[in-house]
Amino acid sequence: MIPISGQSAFVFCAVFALAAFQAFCGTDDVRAQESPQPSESRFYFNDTDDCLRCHSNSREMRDSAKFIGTAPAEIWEKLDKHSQSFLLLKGKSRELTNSILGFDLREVFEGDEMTILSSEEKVAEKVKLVKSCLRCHATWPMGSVHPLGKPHHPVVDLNLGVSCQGCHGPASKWNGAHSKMWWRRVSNEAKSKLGFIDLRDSVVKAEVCTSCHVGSAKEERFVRHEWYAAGHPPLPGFELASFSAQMPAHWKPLREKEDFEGRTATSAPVPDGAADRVVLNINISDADIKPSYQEANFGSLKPGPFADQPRTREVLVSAAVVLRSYVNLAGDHAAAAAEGRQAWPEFALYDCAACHHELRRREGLAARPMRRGPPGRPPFPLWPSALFDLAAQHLVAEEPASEGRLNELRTSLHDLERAYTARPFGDAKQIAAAANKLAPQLDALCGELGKSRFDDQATRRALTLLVTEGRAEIDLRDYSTARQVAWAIRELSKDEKRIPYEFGATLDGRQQQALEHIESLFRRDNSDPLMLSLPARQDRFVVDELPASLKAMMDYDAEWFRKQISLIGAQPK
Amino acid sequence: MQHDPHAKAAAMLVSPEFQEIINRLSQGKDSSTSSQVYLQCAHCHDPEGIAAAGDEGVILTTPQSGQSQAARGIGCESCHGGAKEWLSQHYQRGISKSSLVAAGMLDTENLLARGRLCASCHVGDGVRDMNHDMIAAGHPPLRFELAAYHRKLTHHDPATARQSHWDDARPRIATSDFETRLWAAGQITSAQSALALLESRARRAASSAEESPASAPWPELSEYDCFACHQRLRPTAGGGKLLGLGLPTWGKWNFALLLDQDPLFLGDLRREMHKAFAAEPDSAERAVKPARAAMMNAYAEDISAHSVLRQLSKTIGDKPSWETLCHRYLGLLAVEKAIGDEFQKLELAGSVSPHQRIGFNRRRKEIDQALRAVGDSLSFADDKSEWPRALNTADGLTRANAALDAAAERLEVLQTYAERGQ
Repeated sequence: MIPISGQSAFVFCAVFALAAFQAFCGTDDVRAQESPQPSESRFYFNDTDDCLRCHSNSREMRDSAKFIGTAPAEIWEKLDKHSQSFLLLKGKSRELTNSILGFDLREVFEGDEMTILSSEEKVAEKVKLVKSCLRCHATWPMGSVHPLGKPHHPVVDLNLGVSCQGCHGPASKWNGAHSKMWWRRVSNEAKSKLGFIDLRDSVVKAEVCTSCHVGSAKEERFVRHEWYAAGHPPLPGFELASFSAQMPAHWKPLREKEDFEGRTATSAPVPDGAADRVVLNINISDADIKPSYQEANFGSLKPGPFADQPRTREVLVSAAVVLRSYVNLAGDHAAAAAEGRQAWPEFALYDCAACHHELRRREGLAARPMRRGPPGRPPFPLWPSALFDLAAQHLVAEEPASEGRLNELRTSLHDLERAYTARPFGDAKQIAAAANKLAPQLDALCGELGKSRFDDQATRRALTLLVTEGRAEIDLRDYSTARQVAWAIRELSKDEKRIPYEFGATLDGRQQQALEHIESLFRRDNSDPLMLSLPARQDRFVVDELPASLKAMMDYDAEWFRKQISLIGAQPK
Repeated sequence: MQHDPHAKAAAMLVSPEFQEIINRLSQGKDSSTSSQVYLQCAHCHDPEGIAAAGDEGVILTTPQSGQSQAARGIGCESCHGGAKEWLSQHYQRGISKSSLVAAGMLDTENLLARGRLCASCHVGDGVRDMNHDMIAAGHPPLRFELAAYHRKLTHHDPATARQSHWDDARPRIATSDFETRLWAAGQITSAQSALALLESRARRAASSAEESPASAPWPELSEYDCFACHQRLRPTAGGGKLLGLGLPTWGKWNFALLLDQDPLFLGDLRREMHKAFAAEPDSAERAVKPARAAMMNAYAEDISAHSVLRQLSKTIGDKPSWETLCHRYLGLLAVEKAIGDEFQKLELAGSVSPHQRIGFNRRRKEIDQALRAVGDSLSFADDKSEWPRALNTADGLTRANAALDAAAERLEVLQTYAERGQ
C-alpha cells in the first residue's frame, strides 16, 4: 500500500532515481522512455497544497519552530522566483518563449488552461521539446510518470513552477513521517530510500541546484546553444551561497537553529516513533532510528557541524560541485555524441567568451585569458573551475595527505582541457573519456568536502586566497570567473563578520554596517558592473535586465576588478 | 623596392610582435617547438631563409635581433623566381620574355600568374597555411583582394612611404579595362588558392588523426565567416528561430562572388562544408578536387568593366553579408577606376568635349563620395576594435547594400561617357 492523501486527482507517481532512468522496459515509445520501475522504488508526488498547508502557516509550524522555522514556504510563494518559473514562460515572457520555440506554447497543450500536454501525434516533436524546458521550469523530473501511465500529465501542477518536491523529493513515502519529531532521528540513508532528498547535506543541495543552474544531461536539463542564440538568457555561473542568499533562502543553517529537540544526546529527547511507523506502514526499521539528529546525519564525523560557518561551507562545497556538474554535463553529452545520439559540437559546452568577443587587434590579446591549449580553439570554460583552488586548499589545510590526490585531479582536469582543444571543438570520444576519468576523482573531492568542517579559520583562509594575488590559479580576465570570485568574497566576508545567514534576521548596528560595506565592495560609480545582484526575486525580470547584463559581459573591465581585489587584500583585518 | 612593404619582412622577423605571436602559438602546443611554428610562418615571411636553409637540411630558426638580416625575409627571387639561370640575361636588350620564363623567371606581367603569386601568401596554398590558431595568437586575418592591394601599393602615401616598384601604366594604356581584368584575375586566383589551401588542410587533417606538426586543425575555423561566431551578445540574437541557428557559413570571403554560380564552379563543395558543422575532412577533400579543376577554367580573357558592372549591379547571394558587401564594394571601385582610365584615354586622344569632361567629373565625384561612405561603414570602427561599423546597427548591412545598388546604377551612367567618344 502507498500512503497518499485522499485527493486522487492530484496524485501522481514517479520513479525517482536520479541516475537510473535509462534501463527501463516498456511497449510504446513514451513508456520505454519513462516506464515505472518495480513498485518498491516508486515514489509519488503529493499535492503541493499538502506541503503549503503547514509550511506557509506559522501556527501549524509552531512545534517545529526551533528546527525548521515558522513559515518557510511563504518565502518561496511570495519572494522566490522558483515558484514563477512556469508562469513566466506562459505569461510575462510568452513572446520570448514562443520566439525560442518557434511556435506558440499553447500548441502543445490540451486546453487553454495549459495544464496537460497534448497527446496528438502531429505535435509530438514539439511536446518533446517543451518537456525538456519543463525539466527546469516546472516540477517534472526525468523518469517521473503519472500513476495511470499518462505521459502527458505533469506530475505536479505546472503553475507551481519549481515547487517543494522538485528539490526535496517526491513526498508520498515520507510525507506522513517527516512532520513527526522522530524523523530527526532517522538516518540519512533510510530517508533517501523513501525518496527524500536531504538538502541539509550541502553537497546534495549544490547538486540539486546545479542540475538546472549548470545543467545535467542525465536529467535532460541542458540549455543548448541554439536556445541561447534564440534568446534564452545566459546562465550566469553559479555560486551556492550567493544564489541562496538572493533567492532568498527559506532555511536556517544549523548554526542558527536553537538547541532543538533531539539535536544531540544532551538535547531534549524525542521518541523513536515505533508506533507511528507501524501505523504509517513505513519502511524505517529500528536500526534506522539513531539516538539523535547529530548521529543520524553526521554519524562518526568530526564534531562541530553545528558550528560550521554556513556560507563558507556553501562556497567551498559548491566550488567543487559546480565543477563536477559541468564536467558531467560535458562528459555525458560528449559520450552521447560519440555514439551518434547527440549532435557535435554543442557550442554551449565551450567558453562563451572564446567566440563572443570583439575581434581586437593585437593589444587586445593581453586582455584575454591565456589557456592551456593552442589559441584559437574554443576551450573548456574557465568559470566552473574558478573556485576549485579554494576547495582544494581547504582540504589540504584540513588533511595534508590529500595533496597528492588533488594533484592527480588537477592533472585529469588539465587532460580534459587539452582534450577540448586537441582539435577545434575537441573529439567527443576523447572528451568523454577525459571527463569519465575525472568524475570519480571529483566525487571523492565532493564527498570529503561535505564531511569537512568550516570554522572561522576556513573562512579566513579562503578569503586570503581570493584576495592575494598569485595565491590561487584564477584568471581574473574572464568575466564569469570574476563573478564567481566576487560572489565568493562577499559571502565569505559575511561569515567573517558573523552576519546571520537567515533571511530577514535582525542585524545589530555593527552587522548592518559591515553588510553595507560588503555589498559595496564591487560597486563602481553606484552601478553593479559584474551584475552580482541577480534577478532572483519576483520583483525582478531577467528578460528586462538582459540588455544591461549582456552589455556588462561585453564591457567587463578586468583591470578595474583586479584593482578592487588588491584593495580588499590591502585592508587591515 | 625600399618603399615596398614586402621589403620590411626581414625586419618584421625580429620584431616583438612577431615573436609574441610565435610564443603564443608555441605555448599552446605540447608537442611542437617554436622552430616548427617558425617554419610555418617562414613560408610567407621568410622565403629567403627557407631557400637558403632548404637544401642543406638546416633547421630554420627565428632570426635574432642584432644578427645580420641579409638573405632573410622576402627578396626579389621570392616573387620573380630563382634567378640562377636568367640573372645574367634578363637585363640584356633583345632577350625575349618567353626565353626568360623558360629559364625560370616568373611572368609577373601575366595577371593570372601574378594573382596566383600574390594569393599564395595573401590567401594561402598547399604549403602556406595561416590558420585560425595563428589569428587567435595575434596574426591579422587574411582578407585579400588583388586590385585593392595594388592600389594600396601604388598609391604613394607619405605616411607609410608605400610604393610599388613596378608600373602597370603600359598595359593600362595598351589594353582596355585593365583594372577590372586585374580584379577578375584576383577573384579567380584567390578562389584557386583558397581551394588548394582547403584541399591541403583536409588532406592533412584526414591523414593524421594525431596532433602532429604536419596535421591540420579540423574544422579549420578561418575557412568560415568570422562574424558568425564573433558576435556581440545581445537579446534575442537569433531573431526567434530555434532550428538551424549557430552554423557558420563557409567560404564567405574567397568565394563571395561565386555565390550565384556555385554549382558551376564549386559543385557540391559548399553543401559538403555545411553538413553539420563541418564536413569530414576526407569527404571535403573529395569535393574540393572537381572544384579546383573547374576553377582552372574560370577566367575569361574578354572580361570587361561592363560585364563586371552587370554582375555587381545586384545583391550578391540571397541577402547582404559583410563579406559579400565588401567584395561588391571593392569590385565597384575597380569598375569605377576602369571607367576612369578609359575616359582618360579618350581625353588624351582629344575626343572628349569640355562639356563631357565636366559632366563626367561631377558624376565621378558623386560616385566616389557614395562609395567612400559605404567603405567607411564596412571598415572597422576604431583602432582598438575590429568591428565593422555596419554591424553595429540592425540595418547597417541593408543600408550599405542599398547604397551600392545606387552606386552601381550611377556607374552605368558614368560608363556611357567612357563609351561615347569611341
